[in-house]
Amino acid sequence: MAEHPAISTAALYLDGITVSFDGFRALNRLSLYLEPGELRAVIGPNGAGKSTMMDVVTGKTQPDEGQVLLHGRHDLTRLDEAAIAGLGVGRKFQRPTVFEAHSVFENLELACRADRRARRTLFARLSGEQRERIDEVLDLIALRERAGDRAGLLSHGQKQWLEIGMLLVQDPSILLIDEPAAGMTDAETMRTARLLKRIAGGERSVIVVEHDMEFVRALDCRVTALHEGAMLAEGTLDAVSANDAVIEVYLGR
Amino acid sequence: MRLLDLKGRIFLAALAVLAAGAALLNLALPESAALHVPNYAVGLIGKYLCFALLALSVDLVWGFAGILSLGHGAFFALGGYAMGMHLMRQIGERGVYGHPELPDFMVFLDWKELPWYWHGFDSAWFALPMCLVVPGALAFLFGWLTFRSRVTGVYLSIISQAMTFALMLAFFRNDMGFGGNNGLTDFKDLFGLDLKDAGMRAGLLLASAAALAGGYLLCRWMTVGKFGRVLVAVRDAEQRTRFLGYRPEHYKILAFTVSAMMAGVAGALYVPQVGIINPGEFSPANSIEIVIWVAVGGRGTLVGAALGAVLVNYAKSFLTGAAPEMWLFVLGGLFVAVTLFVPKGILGEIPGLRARWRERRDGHG
Repeated sequence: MAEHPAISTAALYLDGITVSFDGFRALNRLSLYLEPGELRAVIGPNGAGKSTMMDVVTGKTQPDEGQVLLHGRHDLTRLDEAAIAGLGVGRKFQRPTVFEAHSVFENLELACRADRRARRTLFARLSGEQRERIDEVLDLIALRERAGDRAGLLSHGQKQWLEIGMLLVQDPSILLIDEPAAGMTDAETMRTARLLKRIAGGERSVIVVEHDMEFVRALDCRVTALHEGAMLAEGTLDAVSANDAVIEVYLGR
Repeated sequence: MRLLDLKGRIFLAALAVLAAGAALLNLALPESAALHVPNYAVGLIGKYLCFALLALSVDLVWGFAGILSLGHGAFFALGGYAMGMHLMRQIGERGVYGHPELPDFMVFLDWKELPWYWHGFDSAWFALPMCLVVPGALAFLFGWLTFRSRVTGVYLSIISQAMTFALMLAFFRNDMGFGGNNGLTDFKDLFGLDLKDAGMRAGLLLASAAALAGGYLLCRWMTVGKFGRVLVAVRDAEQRTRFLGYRPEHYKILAFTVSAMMAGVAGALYVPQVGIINPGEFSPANSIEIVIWVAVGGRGTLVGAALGAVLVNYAKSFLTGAAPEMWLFVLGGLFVAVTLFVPKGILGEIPGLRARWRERRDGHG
């Protein structure tokens, strides 16, 4: 791949990442460049290294080689999970876990940026600013009408949105989202695509890992195809789907 | 949510009426009057209120933070022992052996001087805070060692049970200096007032009611706000709260320590009303019984826990009089029945019943 001229302006820059588990190369000199405000879809068959890539960015896995630069300043491979989260990198796991006994609003409240220490929390009051932020996010994830309802009563799709909302109230600069459309109805899938397109932009970049091609098409963004821990192709979905190597991996053999 | 909802107001009002009413009808009316509340009943109600406070303390950690403690009887007993030590020192020269400083059992064991840890307990200013500090310190240590190592669920329950069992064995030993299997008893007075005096008994009942009300308000305050929401979040999805940047172990340690202190206060009020504290209070069965009170009344409802403690203990007083050998079977049966038919407990079922009634009224039934 050609060297990017402005690495320091990249929101996220993965440079030659290699991760091996007992000799198996989960990631093989993977490089990826994400611009500020960019929405990126990452596709690839099972075992292509999609989850490992997310693990490396969020600090769960240490790469054997390479570095991950956030905003051209922070090398994430030197930081732990909590520190990386503190720098504004949010991750949404595949299975939605919201606090079912709490209302939608309370779920967002717990996720809000605030002092997390026990004694401080004992005396914590929701500030007007936090309330405004929660209201904004409620509109964004289309759950304002359900704000008072217990999160356990939401549909699967709504829980996914709520969890995305719980990341959004923290104002992350990078969002990593793992298969958000899994288990959703078609209508929910399309709404999720619209939601993600609205979330990305300005200073916030979003990486979505997904299997569902309809969903990726609806995202209408740059696509990175992974295979055996390395990049296979990158470009528009049409260009990537027309790529011979991609066709080979997906359909061939 | 407000600090005092309707349920809470009804609870506090009923508590005030019960305690003040019983004390008044005991003191103001002659014994011959039909409405006179006998002395033993005053003591009994006071005892129930202490159990209710103990149940509240368990509900705080079990109902909200998901910590199923099977060792809360230990904190209750430690508070009781701290109070018992003060009461022993208050006896002074009036003991059987008339020793000015040593309690009877130490003279009997031929001890020459007071062990170091008995010093200071002659002063109420030292002894009363100790009723909170000792259980609180043990709970903090216990929480520090277990919650930080992420011991949860059944493992934590078993360790808490082992803790109270170990304490029971230790307190049974004469050379521990707590009166061995006889425990501490033969108390005479508290604050210079005779413990058998009717006014004193009524005063202890009112103090127990006040402690219960205070404990309830403290639990409410801790659970209605954001702190309580984090506790429930930890109960339901501990790992998720960690991803949000919270440290669940700190929340648990804080709640557990406060809870143990409440249990200690309950024990400290219990001992002068029953006149004895012995190692039997540490027995594992006691701690399990507390959990049953909470389960019967409704886990996570606070008022339900207090109510469950009173109901089960009323049944116990009645049955151990009528058919003592039956009690443990009834208790076990009660636990099974509650688990099967009223899993949320008496008060925990009310919201569901109300919703069902509303549905039927609105014609969806």
